[in-house]
Amino acid sequence: MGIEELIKNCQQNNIKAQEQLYRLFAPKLFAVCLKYSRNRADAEDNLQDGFLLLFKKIGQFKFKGSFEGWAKRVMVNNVLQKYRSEGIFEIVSENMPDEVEVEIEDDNISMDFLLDIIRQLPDRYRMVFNLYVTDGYSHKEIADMLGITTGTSKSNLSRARMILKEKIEVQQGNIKNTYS
Amino acid sequence: MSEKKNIDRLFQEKFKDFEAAPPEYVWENIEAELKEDKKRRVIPIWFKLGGVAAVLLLGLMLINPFGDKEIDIENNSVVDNDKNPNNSTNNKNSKDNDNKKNINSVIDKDHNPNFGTTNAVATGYENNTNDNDAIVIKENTASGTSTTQPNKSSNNNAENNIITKSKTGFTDNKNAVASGYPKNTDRSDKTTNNPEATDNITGQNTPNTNYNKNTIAATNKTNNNSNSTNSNNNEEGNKLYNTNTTGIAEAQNKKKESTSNNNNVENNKAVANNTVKSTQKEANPLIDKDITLEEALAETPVDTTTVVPEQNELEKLLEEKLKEEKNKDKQLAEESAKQKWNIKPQVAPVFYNSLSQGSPIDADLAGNSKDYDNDLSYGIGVDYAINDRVSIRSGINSVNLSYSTQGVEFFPSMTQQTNNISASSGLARTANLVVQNPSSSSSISPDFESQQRFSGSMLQEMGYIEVPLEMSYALVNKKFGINVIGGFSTLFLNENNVSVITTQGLSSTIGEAENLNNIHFSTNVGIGFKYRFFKSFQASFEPTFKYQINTFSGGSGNFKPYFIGLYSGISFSF
Repeated sequence: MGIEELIKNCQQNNIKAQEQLYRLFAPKLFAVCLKYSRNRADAEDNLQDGFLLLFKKIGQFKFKGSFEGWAKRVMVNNVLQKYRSEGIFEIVSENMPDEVEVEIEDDNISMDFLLDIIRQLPDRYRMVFNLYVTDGYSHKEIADMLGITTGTSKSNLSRARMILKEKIEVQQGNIKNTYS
Repeated sequence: MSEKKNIDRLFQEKFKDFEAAPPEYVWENIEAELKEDKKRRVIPIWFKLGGVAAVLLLGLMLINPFGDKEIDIENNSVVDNDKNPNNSTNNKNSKDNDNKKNINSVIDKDHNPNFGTTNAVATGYENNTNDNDAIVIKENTASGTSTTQPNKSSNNNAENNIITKSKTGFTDNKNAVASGYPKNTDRSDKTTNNPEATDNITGQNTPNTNYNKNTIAATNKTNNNSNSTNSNNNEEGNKLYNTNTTGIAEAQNKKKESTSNNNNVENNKAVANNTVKSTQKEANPLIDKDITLEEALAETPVDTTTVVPEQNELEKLLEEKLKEEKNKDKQLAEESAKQKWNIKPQVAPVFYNSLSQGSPIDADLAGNSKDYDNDLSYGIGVDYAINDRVSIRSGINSVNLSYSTQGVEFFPSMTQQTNNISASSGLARTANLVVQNPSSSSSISPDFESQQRFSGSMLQEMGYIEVPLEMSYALVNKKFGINVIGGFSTLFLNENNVSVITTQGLSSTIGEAENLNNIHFSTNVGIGFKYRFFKSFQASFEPTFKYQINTFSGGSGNFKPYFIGLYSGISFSF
């Protein structure tokens, strides 16, 4: 069964098709949830709600563009919506630092660690960083999605980079220290 | 090996192909929600059905509010005002027929001054005393010939209608007007001497019996269904128990996982299979809590037996939610348990019928077609809840039942009597008429060979005070409820009347049935739908089948009567 047929069956609320679609996309979309959510539990929560939203809205998917891209957007929007409705976008300082470069030892940084430090970011920094860096949204789009100005988006991104850099450097330092 | 790298590129590269397997219970939760959604979509069908039932009921009430009497009056006024010229001319025509018949009878009387005949005609006009017969008839003939005068003819109508009104269940004249009501026009066929008319009526009757049979079958089916739902309920109860017990062991993280599984299953309200599944999972050792993401990545399609994530907020929330729901249900049940008494005024259109052909009056009339009338039963019901599912019900209802035997012939007689009929004790005098089938002419004694005979129908009316004693079991007991009802009723006879109606619509009481028991019983089976729209108020609709037992003493002429009542009312619990 091709992906299109699968989607069409999902549009008719066929539970078997829905399960198949879930099995197919859950790993990718769970990854999205993991990096946008504060912790693993939240990520699971968001994955569940995101999929329910996805199945509810799957009728709106008109087979233009990739389904994966569409599904990811649904997931991201779901998370944003949730954090926005919870009103937990805390106030963050908005001064603008310069471009950030970080020194790392290749292959030394685990996925787990990166996820960890992303999750430790304040909610809005995490959103902006993920949207801009890993999912390729523009500052304009991000500003619209989060209800902030592009300036704020840029500033948040820089702050996020700074925090991440510091954490990576600390970890790198630790590793160096243990080896030396 | 150290290198400078843009932080953005680092994350982009790392996250590019990042995938992570979510734990299995996420899908289980989603599945549960999806199924719940589907379930929710099912409920409106019940509401629709309920709506249809309500509309039907309302329609019945509008067409036939309290028997036929009220419609009589309404229609008569139309005739009197001559608002509808077509109808009034129709009436005039039938009137003419009547009058002609009357003339005939007068002529007959002149030729054969036979006491019996006079009596018969006189009883046709109950208002008149015996002595005045001749005068009245003459008056009628006079007005009958002068039908060109509208005033007089309408007077005639009025007179006839008065007679109509004075006799309950005598339903013919009114119908000529109400062309808007298809049912009524059908009946008006009866008044005209059309021989096909009776055929039509019987034709109408047969689908009716079919329908009734169907409903019986349906009730049986629902009973079966109820059994299966019962067992489901039990299973659900067991599940509830399971979750509760595991809920105690909440301190242990491992078990929490299985608890949430159980909860999900319960949320599903699915079949026992799921419970089995989850218990199996429970049995499996659940160890690896802190599985790294890379490991999770490596293990594609998820397996709960190995991947067991820590207790998360989602689960907690779910648990709390479910607990709340359970508590709510309990509260609801407790509330209804507290309000043990329930009182309900109710009305019901009653559809009378017999399981077999037969006649309780005379076995000879068993083959004649019967026209069963639909009446109204009303009363008050009391309900005592033993627990939240089982309750005992009683009450008191008034119910009137009647049917007419079509295609009979009757004549006045000094020497003969109709079987099983005796003169009504209440009335000063009744006509002694012999009712028989037109074919059985052998019974006429030669003395009265020129005797006048009338053809028409015989109407038997019975009124009862019904005291039911029933038990009901709730299959669904929430805001919307379904229950099965079974029990019996004791019926006390309080009205007993037999009358004849000529094809022209003249009616005469001939007495009361001798073989009706003063007390008899019925077995009742029904299904009830209720909807609680307010804390203590609920609307209910209960189609109930009541099969009558021991209605007649001696031979019942193979007459097996039953009636179906669509009991509906609004009950108040306290």
